[in-house]
Amino acid sequence: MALAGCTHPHVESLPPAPPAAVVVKDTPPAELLACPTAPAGFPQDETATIGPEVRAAIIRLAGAFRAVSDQLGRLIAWEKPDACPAPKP
Amino acid sequence: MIATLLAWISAHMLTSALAALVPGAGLAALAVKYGGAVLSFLEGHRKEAVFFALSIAGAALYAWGAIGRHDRDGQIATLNHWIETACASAGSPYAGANGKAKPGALCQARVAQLAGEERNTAIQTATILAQAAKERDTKAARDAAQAETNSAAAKSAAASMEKANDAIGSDNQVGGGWFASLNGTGGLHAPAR
Repeated sequence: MALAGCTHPHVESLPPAPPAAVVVKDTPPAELLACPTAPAGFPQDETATIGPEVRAAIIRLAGAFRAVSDQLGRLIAWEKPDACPAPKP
Repeated sequence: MIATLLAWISAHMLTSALAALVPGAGLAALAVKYGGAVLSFLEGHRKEAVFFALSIAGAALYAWGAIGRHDRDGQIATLNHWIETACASAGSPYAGANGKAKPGALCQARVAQLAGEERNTAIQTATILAQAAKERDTKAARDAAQAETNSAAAKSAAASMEKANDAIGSDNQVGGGWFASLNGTGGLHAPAR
């Protein structure tokens, strides 16, 4: 930054200096990029008696878990592609 | 015809001709009267006359040159000031450090370096920005594809779950099929036995 009295009058008509871009590594901490591990699900060789309200709540929770896992997977893939295995359908 | 022309001349030009005739005649009379005397004087003082003429010519040339030198000195002073200002702005005085280098050499090198740096910065900036834009496009495309896959799988699992849930009777007994659909909805796997 030059002093006002020292600037040459022609300086103002010069084109602006080009923007200097640098690559900034802004990688999140490793623990934030750790691949999510899903817990084991429900046993499929069991039977139970569950009322409709409880069933609906369980289904909502399962859907929310899937949505959050998918979103986290996409976020990690955005930072580190192919870091985590693709979720199995 | 000639009479008309004479009449026109006498009407328009005679007055002027007569008016010019008076000083013209005066000068001619002077030349006749003193011309011979001047010529004979010059003839008698040829050396002095030549010296006098040369002196006048020399003085005129000197004066002309002085004007030129004055202009040139002013321009050089302006230019020197500009050069010193420019070199100081570039961060390298025109005189150089300790007078070791030739005056202007360091300043010239500095200006060339600055110009080169600006050029390189522009090139590198363009390269980095273009690379960043390309990488972001790649990331966005990959993420969009993954989102599409996830969405299709979740939709399919939700449809399967709804079907299994509708199949449950009024006794609220759920078995393997319902649990399998539930695991599918959550993206879970049944525990290993």
